[in-house]
Amino acid sequence: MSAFRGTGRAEGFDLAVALRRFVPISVLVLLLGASAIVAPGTLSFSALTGFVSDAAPLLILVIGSTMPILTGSIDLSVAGIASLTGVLVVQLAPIFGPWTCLVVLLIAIAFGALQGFAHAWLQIPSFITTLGTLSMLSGLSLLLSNATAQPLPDSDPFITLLSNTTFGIPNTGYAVIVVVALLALLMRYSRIGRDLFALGAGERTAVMSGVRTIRVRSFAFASSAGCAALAGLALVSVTEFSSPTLAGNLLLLSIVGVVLGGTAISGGVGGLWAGVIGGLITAWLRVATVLIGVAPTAQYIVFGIMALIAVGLTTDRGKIGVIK
Amino acid sequence: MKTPKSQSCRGGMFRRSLFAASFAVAAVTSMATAYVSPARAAEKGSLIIGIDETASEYWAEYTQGAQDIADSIGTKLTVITSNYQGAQLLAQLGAIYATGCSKCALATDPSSNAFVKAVVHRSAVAQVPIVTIWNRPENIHPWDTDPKYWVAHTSFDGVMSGYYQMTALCKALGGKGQIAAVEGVPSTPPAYQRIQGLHKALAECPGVKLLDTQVGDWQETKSQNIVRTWIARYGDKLNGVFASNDAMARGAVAALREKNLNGKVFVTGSDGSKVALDMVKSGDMLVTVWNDPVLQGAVSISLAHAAAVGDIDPEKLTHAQRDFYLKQEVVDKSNVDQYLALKANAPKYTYDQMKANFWKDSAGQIPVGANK
Amino acid sequence: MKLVAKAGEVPGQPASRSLRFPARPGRWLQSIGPVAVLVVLALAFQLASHNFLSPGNLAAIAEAVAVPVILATGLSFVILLGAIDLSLEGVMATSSMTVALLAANNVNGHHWGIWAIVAALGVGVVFGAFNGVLNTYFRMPSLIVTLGSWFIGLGIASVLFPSQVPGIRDPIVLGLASTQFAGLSLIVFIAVAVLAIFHLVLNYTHLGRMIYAVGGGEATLVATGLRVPLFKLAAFMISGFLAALAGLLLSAQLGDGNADIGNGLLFPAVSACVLGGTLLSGGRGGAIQSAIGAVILEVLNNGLIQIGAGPYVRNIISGAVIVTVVAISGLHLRRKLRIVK
Repeated sequence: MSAFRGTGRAEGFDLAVALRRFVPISVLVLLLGASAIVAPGTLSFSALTGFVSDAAPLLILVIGSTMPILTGSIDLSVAGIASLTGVLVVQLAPIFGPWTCLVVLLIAIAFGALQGFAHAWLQIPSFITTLGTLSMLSGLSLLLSNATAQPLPDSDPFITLLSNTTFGIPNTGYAVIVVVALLALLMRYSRIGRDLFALGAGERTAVMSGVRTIRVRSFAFASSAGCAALAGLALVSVTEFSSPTLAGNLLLLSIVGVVLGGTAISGGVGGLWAGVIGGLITAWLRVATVLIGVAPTAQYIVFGIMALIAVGLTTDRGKIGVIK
Repeated sequence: MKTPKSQSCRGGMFRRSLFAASFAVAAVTSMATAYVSPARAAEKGSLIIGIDETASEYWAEYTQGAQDIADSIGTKLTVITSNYQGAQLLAQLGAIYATGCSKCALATDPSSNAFVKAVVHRSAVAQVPIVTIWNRPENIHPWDTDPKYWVAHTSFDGVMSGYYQMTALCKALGGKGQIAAVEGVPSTPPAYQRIQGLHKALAECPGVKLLDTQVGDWQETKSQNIVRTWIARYGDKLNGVFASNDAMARGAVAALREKNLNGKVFVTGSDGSKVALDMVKSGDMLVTVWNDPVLQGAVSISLAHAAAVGDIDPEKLTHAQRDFYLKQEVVDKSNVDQYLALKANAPKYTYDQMKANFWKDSAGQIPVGANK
Repeated sequence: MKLVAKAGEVPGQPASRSLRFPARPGRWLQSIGPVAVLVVLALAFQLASHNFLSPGNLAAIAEAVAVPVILATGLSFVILLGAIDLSLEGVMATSSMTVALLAANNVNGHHWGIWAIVAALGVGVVFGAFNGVLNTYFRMPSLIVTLGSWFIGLGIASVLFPSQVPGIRDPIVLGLASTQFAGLSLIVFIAVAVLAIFHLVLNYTHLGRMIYAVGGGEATLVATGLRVPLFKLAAFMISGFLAALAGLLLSAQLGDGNADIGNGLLFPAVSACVLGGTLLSGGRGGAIQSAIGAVILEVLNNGLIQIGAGPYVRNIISGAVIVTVVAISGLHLRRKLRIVK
């Protein structure tokens, strides 16, 4: 069996395989349609723009988390990075002034690259590497902020930019598009894109065909950390306050998002577009329980079951040999 | 090559149709529930409360207070749960407002200081009057941030709560001994306020020494582990445990019970939960501080509703009316029966009763610096 | 993390090693690392606080580590498959509410006694079966299945929650925690028994050997025609069962039912398994190793309180220790293991 991306491809056109690609987006459309019937007004312009601004941080996180997962690794530190970002912006503003956000983004990317390097070079499983760093990052956030919420500097140009709207659409929405475009270009026009998929689909084969594991993994984790930091900035652009626990449970939601889009947790299958769709479905599931009037006590149950059903629908098992 | 592939595909198709069927069933059922569900937000004048979790006695009682008010004016109460996630609260509020909401009123815990401004702003944009509870950063107030819609902020005085607890400990120890303190989630005002109150009372009680302070995140099991470690470390030297809430006090008592020290090492808590009242009665706990969540629910949602229907004009209220503490009481063995009775038969509040004087149970304006 | 072995790979070495199971000379070597870490930590804390190795404190560690050991033991079964079980906290929440509401309590009239305990444990088995069936028969990744059932478990606990904390009054349930032998509560002995039993299950039964084999190379095993799904199902059920037991014991300790009872116990349990040398890719490690990992974490926790380290610093130090220990103890595997995910 060929280990590379989708066995279907080698066998020419296959209707089932072609249809599969549209399952996640159909789920999204179905959800939107159902909500529109239940609660008219949810698809109005103002409602949708509100939704975009609430969903943007999660979307960016999901897109970032997709990268390590494509290689078969996982990054559990994303929510920790997002929270620390806000705290760092407050702490570093007096030093870097208008450049603070850029500096923080670069710090995050460097941290991510280092994390990916450590995981690949020392051969520590990414699950445990990033679990350890998650613990360290949250401790650091608490320590630096002295466990308090702090107001952001008023005049930060980057945060102001994120919090504004253009043509009525929140700028965080455009940020999502920019991130996707940037990563898509990188993956399309450099080796890194193919290498990511190759690693995820069959590492042994990939290594033998000259893929440089350590470099690719560093890139994947750098981009997930960078996205996490941007998600943190998008969050604080809404709250105008930083807090050591700002991103809270977004870690779990971002994993759900990645998988709902059809990206295989085992790597090699999926992509950025899948991340966007998956992120949107997750963001919608988060509010759907309220929209359809589920009793608050049952919220968790309904979310869990809907997520399981959606994953069942969107995962392409045909491409995965052994499910673990 | 080919055979396993097509097999897996056929199997896949079968499973997928099974999933599709179940998904359709789920979607239809949920829509059906929605049609019969009374808790829709879109109705006129409905009341919305945002709580942190459902599986908690405190929030169940808070919801009860708000439900009483909703019943008395014959409207619906919508409850949304943030599970302590501000981002989730924001998203859910956005969804409710999106479906249209006129004369709605919101009372909510913004889940942490960081989300207060965003939650208030989101409500102001939707023109929904909002009353916040517990969390408010020091430098923003209802009169200076979206003043037309942020009606008020109300809380319980954490500094006083900590002060009461520590004073009781000092008295019980006869002014001499060693204690240790368990703190709540550090980024929430009640957590650091209660510890602040502890230090304030400690200064007036020089014979008592604070051995250690650890973070128990409001949780029973974490507190239990911490107190167990203290017992091993300090032994007889530990004479009292200051727990910042009743859940952590329960954890402390559980740890003490393992060594038959319950009742011998004094434990204090705050909230006035049923279990804590029972433990005060049985002597396992020294004191708890009674915060009335039913009253808090009734007051906070009534104020928001009053602004929504025009019974009050937020901008004409005084600062003391817009940023205030509710009264709280120390419960010890001498008066515990009275509060157990109150717990068993909470008064059923009505809107008219609240309207007579929204600030009847106020303990005064929140002082500057309380939320630092 | 390697959650999935690729179908195209031939899992040569690990599979043959684990199939040769009963006589594995490398095993003791592998567990020396974590034990050494444990000894070094204990000595360091003793030097810093002089109270660390006192009988009282050792007893406190034993009490605190009992439940994490049970969780890590159960989780080992799933991790040895190369899968993961994230639903522990949800299962604990549901089992805690179940036992509190069915045993004699101060909220409703039930007094099922011993059957309340059975019901609470049954909850765990049902959750495990649910996870296992979705994972094996519906072919959904365990990470996402158990993430879903984590939410479902918390949700069921919220639905069950009456308006006030249910206090347990049943002497049998409370007795689990209050009965003491030699200064230690029954819970500690239960944990030791659980560890011993499931260690034996892993090492001396067909099921145990098959679990190692599945983790070593599932694709090969499937090809041999063995009923792999059944073994996987059993592993998930064991993990669910032990999570429910953990929820039950914590409830007995606290004397009430609590939906947050498992809060913050999942990730330490995973870390414990990895720290002790159980590989997330499956096939290697064991219950004892994972238990040692759990003890290391508790020693760290206890010791840092003993020396008076601030609560935020505790997070940073334990994170750093976890990564460092795993890195160092994996160094000798570095060349052999070409793939680590």
